[in-house]
Amino acid sequence: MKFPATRRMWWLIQQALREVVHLRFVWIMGFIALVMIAGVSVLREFNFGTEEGRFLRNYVEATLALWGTVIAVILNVAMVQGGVERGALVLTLVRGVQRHEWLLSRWVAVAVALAWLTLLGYVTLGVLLVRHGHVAPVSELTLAGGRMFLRLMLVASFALTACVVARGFLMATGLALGLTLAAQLSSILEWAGRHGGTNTNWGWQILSWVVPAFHVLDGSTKALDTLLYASGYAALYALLACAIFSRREI
Amino acid sequence: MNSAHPLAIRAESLVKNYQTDWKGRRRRALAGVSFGVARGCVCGLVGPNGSGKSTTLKILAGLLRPDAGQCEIFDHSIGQAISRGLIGYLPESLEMPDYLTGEAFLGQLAQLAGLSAINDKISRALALVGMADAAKRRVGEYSKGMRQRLGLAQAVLGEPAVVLLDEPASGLDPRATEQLGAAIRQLRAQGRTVLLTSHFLPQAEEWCDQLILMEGGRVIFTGSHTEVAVSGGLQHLYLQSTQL
Amino acid sequence: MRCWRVRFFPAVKFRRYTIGLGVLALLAGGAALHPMTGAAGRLMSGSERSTLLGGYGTIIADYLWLETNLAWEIRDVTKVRQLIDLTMKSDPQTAYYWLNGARILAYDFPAWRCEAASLAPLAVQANWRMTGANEALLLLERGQRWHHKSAVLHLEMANICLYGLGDRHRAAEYYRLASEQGDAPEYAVRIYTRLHDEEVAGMLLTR
Repeated sequence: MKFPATRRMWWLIQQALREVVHLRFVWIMGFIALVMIAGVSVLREFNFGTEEGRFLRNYVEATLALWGTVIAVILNVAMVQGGVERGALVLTLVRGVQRHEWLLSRWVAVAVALAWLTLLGYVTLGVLLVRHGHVAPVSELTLAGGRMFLRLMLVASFALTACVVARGFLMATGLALGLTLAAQLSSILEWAGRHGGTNTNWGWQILSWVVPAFHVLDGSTKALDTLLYASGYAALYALLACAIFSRREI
Repeated sequence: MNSAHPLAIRAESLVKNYQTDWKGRRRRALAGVSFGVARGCVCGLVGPNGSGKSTTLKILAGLLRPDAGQCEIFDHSIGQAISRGLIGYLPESLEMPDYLTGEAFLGQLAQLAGLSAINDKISRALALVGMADAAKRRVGEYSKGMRQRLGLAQAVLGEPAVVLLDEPASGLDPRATEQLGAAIRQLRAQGRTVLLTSHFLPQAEEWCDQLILMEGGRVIFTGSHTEVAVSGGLQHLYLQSTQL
Repeated sequence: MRCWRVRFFPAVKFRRYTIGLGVLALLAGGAALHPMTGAAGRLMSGSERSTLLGGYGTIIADYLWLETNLAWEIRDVTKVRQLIDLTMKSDPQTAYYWLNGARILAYDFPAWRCEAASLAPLAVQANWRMTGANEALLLLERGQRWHHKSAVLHLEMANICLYGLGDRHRAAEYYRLASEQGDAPEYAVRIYTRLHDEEVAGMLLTR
């Protein structure tokens, strides 16, 4: 009986999600929620007047961005490199699964995990804001949550590419975090490209094209443009990872 | 190789190089390996570490692409879907998810392979390796021997015609080794072809009908049990080859 | 004879070429997506620092403001001054820091000095209050670069001129500037008008 490709992909994603849960991801989400709640309680001891809501929101979003970045990188590395080292990849390959299917299923599972994390973060934020008497506009928080998710998905795409380029856990993590930092500084790179000397000009400019700019995701561009931009780069990095992985020796 | 006897596995002039660094330096793992394995027999690929045994097995399992040469399973080229359905593979190191039961683990793999009558196949595979009683226990509670036997069960799950085992007895105590040997004998009785690698010579001599000795990516000797005995035994052949 | 079909054209047989072609594809895709960065990609002069911090500039400023609060509690003037400066540099776009930083400079620092040296002559204490107010006004002048279209900083400057310096003419001017902004409260116009009335201006000053 031939397993249709879509069903096989769906099955692989389900297995990868089970693995994510067994990596204690739910516990980690709970821990992050506790950190948010505890931090908000501490912040409320200070007097920020009418700006308290803004302080609380900044804190929760920064916590989510920081933890989300770390989780996106480490989870990806654990799922991909761990899967290769544990032999999970071999057992699927001998059963007719294509390499890029296995890799993409891991990426999608990480995306779902990051979506859960983002949802938890913004629901917690909304509840905390309302509980402490501040305005929590649903549409604004939804858009902010969407941008945060796109940011974390880009980090996950970096980590996916890093996993297939670098062999070791440490190298892959370092490379992924390096790409994230470059994305954070992308506007500086572009500025350096425009204002630097002739030799460095094109170098920095090219680097700013290869690495997406995170500041595009901060709400200064239109929602659709942001979505297309982030999705485009995430897809490019995922395709690059699939291309490399399909030729890599196991 | 006698062409009158149909071959289950045929490898011809296999060459495989591994890239060792970014400068493009390569290490030759296989330097023109040719052999044939008769249908229904248990064949042992023996040799020292680094002789190319695992590389050969991975190529036959479709996990690696040779740089030159060809290989076939029952006259079908490796890489085709049909040849994939004929192979069961046990890798050298396999970690199974601790949180799954043995039965659930096999069930997952059976679903992935798109097998029919999954429950029956799982029961038969577990019975073959003597793990029927432990099927409902989590893999995390298994001993090393039980995990290895579960690994063998996943290799035979689809009832493949050819079973490839990479160092199946590695790290097992004598009792577990004997249980594994019994399972391999059963596979032979069922008419399956088994190709296993080992660097433990007495075990290879005991289990295998046909032996292939490898050294430095080449086949040094290939022959039946009788031919090995006539040549002075596997130990003698092995020591001779390592002095070359 | 190869037993594997080569799925891609020969240039991608080897890993180096695969990575190289992949990076080229990424470059091409990035160049195509680049126009979407739009205005967000162009830096304002002088705002490189906040962009260097990326989205973390705001949270860093929040953290620095918390540290400012802690230093304020123990009345460490030097540290408060440094932290106010760092906070503005981390997140210059938030008016809250400019306003509260200016208030600390204009009112708290002089008050602490006067409390610590209560026997100092009144003229000296008045001088301290004037110095504080001027320092606050300089800070808010810097902040105008990011908030020139907003009334809040103008209003604060007007209040400092009125209550800190006692300079009603200058205060009136700032109230007028505030009233011309889109987000000006209605009292800005009223106060500006009243400051031109000598009697009302006197009452405001003595209150």
